[in-house]
Amino acid sequence: KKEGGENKKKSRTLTSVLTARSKNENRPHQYMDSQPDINEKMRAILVDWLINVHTKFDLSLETLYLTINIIDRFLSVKTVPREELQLVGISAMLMASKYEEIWPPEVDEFVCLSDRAFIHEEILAMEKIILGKLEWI
Amino acid sequence: MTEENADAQSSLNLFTQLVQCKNLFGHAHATLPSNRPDNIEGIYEVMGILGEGSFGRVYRCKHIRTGEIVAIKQIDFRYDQNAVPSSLIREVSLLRELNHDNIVRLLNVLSTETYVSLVFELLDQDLGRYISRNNGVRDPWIRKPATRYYRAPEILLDSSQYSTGVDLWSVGCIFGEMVTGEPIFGTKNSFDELDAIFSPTDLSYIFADLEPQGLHLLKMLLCLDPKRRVSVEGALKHAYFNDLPDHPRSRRYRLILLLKSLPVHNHLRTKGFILKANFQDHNDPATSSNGRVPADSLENVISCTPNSLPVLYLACSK
Repeated sequence: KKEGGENKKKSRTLTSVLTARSKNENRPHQYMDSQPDINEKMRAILVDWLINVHTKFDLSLETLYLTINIIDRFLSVKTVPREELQLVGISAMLMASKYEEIWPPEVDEFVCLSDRAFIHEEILAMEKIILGKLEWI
Repeated sequence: MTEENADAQSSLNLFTQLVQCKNLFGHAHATLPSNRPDNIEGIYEVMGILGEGSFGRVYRCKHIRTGEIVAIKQIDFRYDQNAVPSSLIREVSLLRELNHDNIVRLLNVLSTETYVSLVFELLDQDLGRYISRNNGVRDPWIRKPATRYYRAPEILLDSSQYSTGVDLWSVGCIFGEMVTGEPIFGTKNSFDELDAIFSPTDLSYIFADLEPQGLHLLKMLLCLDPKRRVSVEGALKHAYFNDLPDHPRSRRYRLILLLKSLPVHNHLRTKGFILKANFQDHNDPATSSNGRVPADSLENVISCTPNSLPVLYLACSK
């Protein structure tokens, strides 16, 4: 039993930095109603695509979870047109990789994997917008 | 003897890698305008420069409206291909979570297109220490985990794969330091560091004071090839530690505690649990009084602190 408690504590320290923040406004909430241009189906497609990217880059599980967490928190506070949803996903994964991975993928690798739907500069610009909105993760 | 020959061989291979590693020296780091700004984002008035490093500058500033005195660290990433550096993302998100009397508090983050300003509370003596403790960023061209003196050659050479072995190297460095009283690879930059590591040296001459068993263990810890370097388990079973218990303040006893404090699993390693020698200002040659470590401070070594992990930009080997 004691061991279980320790595990719980450990997992909290690993994730608390990014997710279990004390401020409520930093948690994702039911945001789809406030998004005029996107819906649950689109989010599901995005997540499926990100899982493919994640496998392709051979990233850690934490990176994937953090990516989705960043996306949900960002969509909770910012309206995003559907053309930009994938861009949000890419930039979120870039940020999560930088946080979690020893060797995060390069921006240009994301550009290639998205079939050049977005250019280098757009990914970086979105990264800064997300960082700003989420108050630096 | 054959062991030493093999070591010399792997040293040669690593050196070849180093020579091929042109990128290592061509890395353009951030440059800041030579004159200091009058204000930062119109919110803070700049009163003076507190410090400077490869990351940018630290200014002493006054909040124009409230009069609060703060320290602002400006980090320029204009020339960074991957924009916001991962070290910065980690630094900010960790500092935002930390709230402790002994840790400098991050009050605010202001960002623009090309640089980020971290607003810290101003602790007159402590800020400099905070920055020097983070001396990964002091290094002009490599941002790497762990204090440089204790960095394993594979980290210095930008291997894309490194593991728990880097901590054993650090233990070897600290072990040597316990004997000689000063950093065994205490150099000014990573290039000199590599130079020192790869210089042929006779350890038995430098560590003449050390027992033969201790010297044997030290050689196993300071093995250049991470694959052949001794593991934590192997080191703990070494004959050097036979017939303990020993005096708790003895070298052997401390070394055991140090080895036992290391993460054994590689996933902890990649999470950034990196052994970091905590010798206070001793890490920073500029502030170190005489370069010697007080014997007591070696006890502080037994701490594994999260640290920033390496960044992608300088990949060269493999």
